[in-house]
Amino acid sequence: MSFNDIKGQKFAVSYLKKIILKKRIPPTLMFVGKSGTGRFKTALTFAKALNCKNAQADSCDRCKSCIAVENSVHPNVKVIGRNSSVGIGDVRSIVNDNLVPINEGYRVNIIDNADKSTIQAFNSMLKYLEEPPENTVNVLIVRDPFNIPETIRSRSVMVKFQPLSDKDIESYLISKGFDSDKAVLVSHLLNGSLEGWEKFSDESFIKKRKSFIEEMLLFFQGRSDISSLLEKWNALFPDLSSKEKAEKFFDYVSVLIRDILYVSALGEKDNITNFDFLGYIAAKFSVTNKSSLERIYDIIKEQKEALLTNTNPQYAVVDGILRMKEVIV
Amino acid sequence: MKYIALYRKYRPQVFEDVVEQDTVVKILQEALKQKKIAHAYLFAGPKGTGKTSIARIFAKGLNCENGPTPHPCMKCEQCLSITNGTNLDVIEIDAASNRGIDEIRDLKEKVKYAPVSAQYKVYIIDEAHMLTMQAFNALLKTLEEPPENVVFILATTEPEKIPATILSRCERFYFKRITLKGIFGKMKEVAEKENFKIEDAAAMLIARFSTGSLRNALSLLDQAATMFDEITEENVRSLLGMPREEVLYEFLKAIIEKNAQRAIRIIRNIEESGKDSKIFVNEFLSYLQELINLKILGFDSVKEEIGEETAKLLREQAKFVSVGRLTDISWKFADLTNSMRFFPDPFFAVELTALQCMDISSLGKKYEEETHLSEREEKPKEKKLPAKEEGSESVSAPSKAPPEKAAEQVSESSKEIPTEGFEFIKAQWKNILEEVRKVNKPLHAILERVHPVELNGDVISLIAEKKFYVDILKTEENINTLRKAIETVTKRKFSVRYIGKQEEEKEKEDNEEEIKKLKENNEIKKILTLFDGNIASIKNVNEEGNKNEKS
Repeated sequence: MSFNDIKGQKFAVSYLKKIILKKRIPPTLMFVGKSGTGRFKTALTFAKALNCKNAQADSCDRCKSCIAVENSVHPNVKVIGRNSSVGIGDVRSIVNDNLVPINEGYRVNIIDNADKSTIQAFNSMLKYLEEPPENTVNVLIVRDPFNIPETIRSRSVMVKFQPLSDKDIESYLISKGFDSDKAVLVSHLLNGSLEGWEKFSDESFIKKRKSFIEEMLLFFQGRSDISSLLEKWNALFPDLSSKEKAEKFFDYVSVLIRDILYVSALGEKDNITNFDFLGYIAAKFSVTNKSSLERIYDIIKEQKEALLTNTNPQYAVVDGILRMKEVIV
Repeated sequence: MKYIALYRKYRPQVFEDVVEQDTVVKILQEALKQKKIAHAYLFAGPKGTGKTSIARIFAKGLNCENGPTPHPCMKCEQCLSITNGTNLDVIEIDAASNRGIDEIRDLKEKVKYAPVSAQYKVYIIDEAHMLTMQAFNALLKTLEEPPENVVFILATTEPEKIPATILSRCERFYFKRITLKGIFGKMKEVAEKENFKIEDAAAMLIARFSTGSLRNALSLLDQAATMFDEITEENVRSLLGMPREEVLYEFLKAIIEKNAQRAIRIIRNIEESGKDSKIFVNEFLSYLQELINLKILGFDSVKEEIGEETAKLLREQAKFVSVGRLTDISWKFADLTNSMRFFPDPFFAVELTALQCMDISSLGKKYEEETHLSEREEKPKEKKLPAKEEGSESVSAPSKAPPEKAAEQVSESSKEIPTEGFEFIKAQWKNILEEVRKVNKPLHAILERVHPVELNGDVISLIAEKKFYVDILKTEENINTLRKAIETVTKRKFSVRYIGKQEEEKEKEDNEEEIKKLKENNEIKKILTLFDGNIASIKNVNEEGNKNEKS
């Protein structure tokens, strides 16, 4: 993948190209943006471009070095935190392994999901991020820069990744074999990120999602009970951990509330996520009580806060539903 | 030439280069001059304020070949090697990655040896707050009484994490955030040396954004210089994702004017231009802060900090809003900075908060009113139900219609209007009131608080919410007006009867009884005869008990 294949991140790509061309590579870069906007791919491409001898400030994707990076066997490129949170041990493995990069290339340390690192891991990075050895660059991949310590932020240069446009997502999905109608719908549902698009290639998932949203909308009208709502929800993501699931649930609810508010209060037609229910929402929710929506929003906030602590996630979901029910009635 | 990040390239190398931190620098220089060197120092302060840099400079001052001096020469071997980080006697320890007790034991082992070539052995323990408890405790004795010619310098951003036993053994220095002016000056200086073209406003913007940290400021400058050939205010704004002042002005204006559509459009624009929601909220908060400052401290004191043009803009807006409203809005948005991360779409959270600031329940009400009309018509009937139970002066038989049924019928009334009986009157009541309004507006206002309860032959019983209304309605003129109105609407003749609430009646009776009692009281009798008066009503006047009003 070369820089040209990265969609919708003009600013980030042009900045990265410039620093390679001008040879002004800061010791630490921070890629900030939603997951599923191409941060990791860009980081890999950046690593390739720094080590590739063929292309100028880009990767050729054909030479030995590029292929090695692609297959994560390049000695100059190290990735941590891809599948688990970063601990102090991972950071030490980078710090202690700082050999001079081979082939006059550049050592690139990619720290994925950096905002999920432990606080010890952060602190053990401090000195290394500030003054790494020669020809070394660290790339932190971060979702919310305000979640990581100030001392780390002040040592890195932020590169922003924007949410993808619906069009970009659409064309990506079509290239993956979606038909155009479905691609339009799914691009709305994905909300600016490609994270989890694979799920939508499964027809039964789309159906399940639809029936859940239907149930939720009925629930908002006070016409559904808790058990059927929970049942539909549990069918939707059977393979997630209960905590992730609880978080997803409140995300779904908050997006739905947003849609209802947009449609009913503002008469909005664009920017609706649950695109397929636009007509239904417009018909049934034109007279919704706005302050009860506002209360639901507060409930979501509180439940999500609770999820950060030790709350039992399943309990948080049920409790959230019960409290919402009170507001609706 | 090898590229070094600006914040490393322009690390101060002598005391004179240090931006601000005057007290710290002065004390350290004086200590060097008088050769009164403490054995342990603690440098505490926010990131990017010069702790590590000053520690290195101090080490140079100690070890420079010209003896401890406040002005290291930067030419001798010692100075140069410390600058390069290759001096054997200046040992910089990254406490964050060497945080265990073993590392400290190792250090203790080596402390004993005399310095190799310099006068002093200097240990700079950076990020000292990361040492474990055991490591700190292992260090205690060494820190208190180190061998001769050993100096410890602990640098940390979080002094509260350092045990008190360590703190008390060190000479402590607290570093302050660097002021806007200080950062601004340094930016200009660096830009000149590096041949960057930078606008003053852009430098100011970077200074403001870096919250007192020079390292932040320089790395931003670095990034801006890489991205743009000429660093303008506009460029920096787009780099940082910072909204323009005018946008904040418009946004607050929309909130004050309760213009939801506009506020949301502004947020949408920000979202579409790829700016960060958190930065927007932070900027909006500091805008509110400036506005509050302006309202309280006055125009001139704010002008210096934010520049005249922004201050003028603020002054314009300050006319339309009170401090109370501003603090309200500020609190709501301050809360938002915490809760934003809970939402998949943070901009929606911003929108909702903006809506909350302008009273969300009134939103889209116009639309609601139109569609809710049929439900509204039901309302008077619902009100009437409790009235029945309260009883009345002279109701002979209670209304028989079950309330639910009545409501049902009325909700369908838009199509089938009952032509007879009580339901008919009820359905037409609104029209009757309308008719009254044409003739007598004050009467209409009172009648709105009066509800029909039953129909007995051709007598309509009306219940009033307050006895007071009945008194007014009882006049002949008013009764006639109402009758006429009923006739025009229903094309039939009805007479009306008013019912007041029982409780009030009782109250009145009680009063009368009391008056009777009072009249029997001798003293009052005297007063009454003296003034030729009569007792009209009784009022409680605190401890004096009853006082009589005479007429």
